[in-house]
Parts: sequence; C-alpha cells; structure tokens
Amino acid sequence: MSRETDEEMESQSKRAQEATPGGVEEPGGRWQERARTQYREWTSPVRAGLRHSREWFDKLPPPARWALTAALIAAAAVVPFVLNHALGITAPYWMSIVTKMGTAALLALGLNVVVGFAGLLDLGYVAFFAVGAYTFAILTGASRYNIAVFNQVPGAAALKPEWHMYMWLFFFAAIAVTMASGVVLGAPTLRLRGDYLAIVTLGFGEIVRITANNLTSITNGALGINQIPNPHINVGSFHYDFGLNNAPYYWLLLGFIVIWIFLLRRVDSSRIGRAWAAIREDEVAAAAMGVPTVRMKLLAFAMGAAVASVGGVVYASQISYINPDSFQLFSSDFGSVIILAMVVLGGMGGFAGPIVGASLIIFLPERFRALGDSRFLVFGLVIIIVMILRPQGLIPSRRRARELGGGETRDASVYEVQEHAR
Amino acid sequence: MSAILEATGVTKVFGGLRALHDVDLVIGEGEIFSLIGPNGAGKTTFFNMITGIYPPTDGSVRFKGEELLKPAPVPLFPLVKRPRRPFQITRLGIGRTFQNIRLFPLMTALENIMVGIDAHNHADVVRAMLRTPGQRAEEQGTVDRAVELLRFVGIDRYANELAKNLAYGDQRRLEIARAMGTRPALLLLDEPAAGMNPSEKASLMRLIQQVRDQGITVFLIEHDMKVVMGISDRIAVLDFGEKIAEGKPEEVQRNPRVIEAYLGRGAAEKADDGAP
Repeated sequence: MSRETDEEMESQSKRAQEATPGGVEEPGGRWQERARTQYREWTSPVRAGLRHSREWFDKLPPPARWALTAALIAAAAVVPFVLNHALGITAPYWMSIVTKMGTAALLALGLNVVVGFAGLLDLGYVAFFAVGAYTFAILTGASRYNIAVFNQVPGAAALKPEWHMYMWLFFFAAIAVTMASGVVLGAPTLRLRGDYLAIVTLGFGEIVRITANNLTSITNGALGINQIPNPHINVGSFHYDFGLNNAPYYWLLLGFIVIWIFLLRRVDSSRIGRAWAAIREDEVAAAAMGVPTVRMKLLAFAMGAAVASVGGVVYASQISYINPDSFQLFSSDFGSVIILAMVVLGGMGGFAGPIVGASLIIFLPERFRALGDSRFLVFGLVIIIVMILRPQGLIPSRRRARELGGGETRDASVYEVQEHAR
Repeated sequence: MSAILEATGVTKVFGGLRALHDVDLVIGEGEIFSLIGPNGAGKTTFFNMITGIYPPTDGSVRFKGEELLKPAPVPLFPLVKRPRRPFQITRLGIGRTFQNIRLFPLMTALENIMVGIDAHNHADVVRAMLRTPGQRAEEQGTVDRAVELLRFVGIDRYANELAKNLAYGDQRRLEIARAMGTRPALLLLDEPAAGMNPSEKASLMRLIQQVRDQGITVFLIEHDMKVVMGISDRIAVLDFGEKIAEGKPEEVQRNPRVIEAYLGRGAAEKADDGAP
C-alpha cells in the first residue's frame, strides 16, 4: 500500500513537472508539428468562425439559447422525413445508418463520462451494452422462448413473447441491473490506475461475452436470442407499432441523447464535475482536498453503464436478435475499441465531440463500402490524420483541449518563446 | 491551552529505512507549531501519515480526541473497520498544502478553491441533475466563499486565471486558500516559503499569522529559519526520524543537539564554549 502511494506520488509529481514549464507539451515529433502548424494556418478562418459563433451563442440571453437548442433538436428529429424525400429508394438504407449513428452517439456519450470526465480508460465498455441488451431479452421472456424451442419442449410456440406496455419499465430494470454490474466491477478495480484499470476492464468485457456464450440455460449461448419483441405504444385509442422501421428507434435514441446531455451538463457544472476534473488533474491532491476519489470514479462508471444499457435495450428491441458475437471487443459496430475511438476522435469531455465522432466512425465505412474490405484502410487513414492534426479530437471541451494540447488554447507568446529556443 | 493534535510513539518504517522513530508531539489549539530538521529527517513523512497517505507502522495520533491512525468504523456498517482515507481526514478538519505545489493546474484559481470548499457540500448527483434550490444555493455559497478566500490571500484579481499561469508565490497562496476552503481546524503547511524571495517570505509570514488569527492552528514544516523563528510559538526538531528537541524558538536555537544536527559536531562544541 505504502509503496503504491509512493510510486503514484512520484509519477504524479513528475507529470506535474513535465506539464508546467512552457504550458502544454505537444505529442509527436517535428514533422507532425509542422503538419499541425500548417493545418492550423489553413483552417484558422474556420476555427475563428466557430469560436465566434460559440461566443455569440454563449452571450445570447437564455431564452434565445433555449430556442436555438430546441430548433437544433427539431432539425435532428425531422431527419427521417428529409431522408425519405431526398433519397427515395435508398432512404431506408441510410435511415438504418442514421439510427446506428444514434446508438453509437449514445454509447459514445456514455463512455465519455468515464473517459472524458473522470479520466478513466475503460476498454470493456461494450460489456454494459451487452448486459443491458441481455437483461431486456431475458425479462421479456424471449430467452425462455428460444431455449424452449431449442429443446423442443412441447408448447414452446405459446411462449413466444409479445410486447406489453409494462415492458417499457424494463428500460429502468436494465439500467438498474447494469449500474449494479458497473458497481460490482468498479468497486474492487477503481483503486487501480491507468493501464491496470484498462486491462481489468478489457477482461470484464470479455468475461461478459464469454459468460453469455456459456450460460446456455439463461442466455441460450452462442445461438443467441431472437424474437425479442419490438416496442408498441398503446395508450387509450392511440396505437403505434415500432416494428422494423428505423425512424421510431431513431426518435427514441434522440430523446435519450437529449435527456442525457441535459442531465450531464448539470452534473458537470456541479461539485461532482469539479471533483472529476480534480481527480483527472491530480488524484492525490484531490483526495487531500476531501474528494472521495473512489466513490466519484464509481459514480462515473455507473452513470456510463446506465447509458450503455439504454443503448443495449434499444438495440435489442430493434434488431430483435442478439448473440454474444454482437458484443465483441473489435466488433466493427459497437466494439469497446470502436466506441473509444469515437470518443477520442470526436473529442473528450464535451457533448458535441462524441456525437460527431460516432457519426463519422459509423459513416466512413459505409461511405466507402464500394471499396470492399479495403474501406477500413481509408477509415484507419482518416483516424490517423485527424489524430496527427488534432490530437485533442475534433470538438474537445475547452478544459480537455487545454490538457491535451490544442492549437486554439495555446498562448501565442508561449509559442514564440519555444520557437526561438529551438 | 488544550491540545488539538497529540502524537505518541509514531513510527514509520519503509523497508529497512526507519523514517520516523517513536515521535511524540503535542500541538496546542491556536498555536503556530513548526517542525524542522535536515533533509530526510522525516518531516513530510509525518504529514503524510497524519493525512492518511501512508499507513503508520506504529503509534497513535489523536486529533481533537479522535484517533486518526487506527482503522475507524465504516459509516452504515459499524462493525467493519477500515483505515481512514485521506478525504475523510480532510473532512475531519485537517487541511494541507504540498511541498512541491500540487494545484489543479488547468482549473482556474476560483475552481481550485471550490474543490476544497466542496469537501463540506452535500449536493449529490440527483440533486445536481434536478438543480434543486438547495443545490443552487450551495453552489452560490461556494462561489462566494471562494472569492472571499481569494481576497483573504490577496489574489482575487486572478480568480479566473488558470492555476498554472499564476506566479510562483501566488500559487503557494492559492494552495493555502484551497486548503482553507476545506474548513480546517488544523492546517498543515509543507515548506510554504520554499523558493520565495525575501519580500514574498515576509508577506507569507503575515499571511500565516492571519490564518492563525482566524482560529486555525498552523502546523508548519519549513527550512527557512527566518520564517520559522519569526512566527512559531513552538518548534520541534527531527533528525533521522527522531525528535531531538522541542520548545520555544530561543530554546531550540540554543540547543546543542540541534546545532549538531544542522552544522556538525565541531560547531556544536564551539557553541558550548560560547564562541559564535
């Protein structure tokens, strides 16, 4: 124990020393730096424009800001109609992509709490997505039905699950189960730091998938669970069947994203957000200032898990079929690594960043589908280029940009001093 | 004068190194108490044990009558006992600063202090999400108190400046303000004057006295003798993990063992002969 703390104090003070002189250290060697400088020159009008519009937005009176935000949400909500009109025959295809982007954005926003806010590297995030999806599939009775069919139990067909209104409550059940699993994983492991935590979470992600694969009596193993019912809304005389369309799921996801951003913004500007920032910057000092570090990290973990489970429920109810392979580490849909890439590419710690990152990472492979499997090369290349030019991500939060060395936040004077020194 | 901190038989062993051996200290309420000694004498180790960063090898430290070093019952589960964690000790009323400044470099001066004040705030996630009136009042109170503390240490004009952009002396002041935000009854200052110029030192001494005048007991580690002798009510001297002297500044200054520890045996003998 004492030894660990020794080391952590040492490494932390070293980091602090590295970080202080001359402001932000930039990653990469000379040619990357030159590329970055060049890129900054080229894009400076764009960035200035964005900055001005951001400042303009910040200065607006609150009602105007609310109105603009509402308009933005409305614009996102009419996307299905616009696609229908504009694309005709390929509209359903693109709508399915947009819905996938919605799921990805929700997951990225959830992982962002863990990675971007609390500063913990979580490589097993998809596990929570899986726990949410499986909890839902089991609660609706779809799993019981599948197992009965597989075992050729007489009367199995009668077990085929139907949607009932009370099943909306399963969203909460899935959230509760997943948060609990987040706490179970987090309580013993969040005392670890950095790489060690990453390894443990990586393991957790695999444990969940392998358990789903082998716990055949509950999860139907590798065969997976199908016939998960699609949601309906039956209120009085109002009936709406989500069915196999994409639009209603898209709206559902949009709703969850809006609610999540709304809540998380409030949390971020409270003492909890400050505690997360303090932990990220200097954990020992944070603890010495009365921040319950383990509890705060656990909270971030549980909140991230809750969001993932919501994504999992929507996913399971739309696709109607899940199996353990849906939740692989490197799965090109929602693998842990892919979700992490969305957060890092888009920019950590903010809200627009993960959404943009998720959209891009879902969109790019689709856009280059004509290239066959080599489309992933293009995709990889784009990520590398973005990371060289913008190590802080496309749209980082302001504080995160400072931490990761962004062009905009660097003082001109500091930069000149460094140039002369070289 | 009642004791606020009572250490008895405090011992800390790192592997084969005895960093602290059987140290007894009593700090009275409202004192400015200094702990001095050559480098490596165990001063910072002593701080780190009080604040729960290192578990002790042996000994007891009572703060306002409460034992800090022994495992304490966990809230809600009174039968389970666990060593106190640093944040719990801070919340009991022991604030501290660090030898090598450990501010949150990319948070503003105001935010740094707000983190300290949050130690006694109550708003949880749910209340933050709902932004209840109580939570909003608490936030406002936190900002007001943080500004007050910035003013107290004299750097309120840098409230919105990033901590890492402050001048060195101001960073030291900000660290003191941040620790005061945790509402300490006892404030541990680890070499606050290190690296300061004489005028900064003079104003730091005034600041420490002002802190004490607010009713906060100050426990100081310092190498700068001018500062130590100028403001301390009492001084204890550590050498190789053992307490070799304790008393008022004049007494400690004349103590031959202290002179020996700092200047070597020859100097101590000369001092005994009355030579300068």
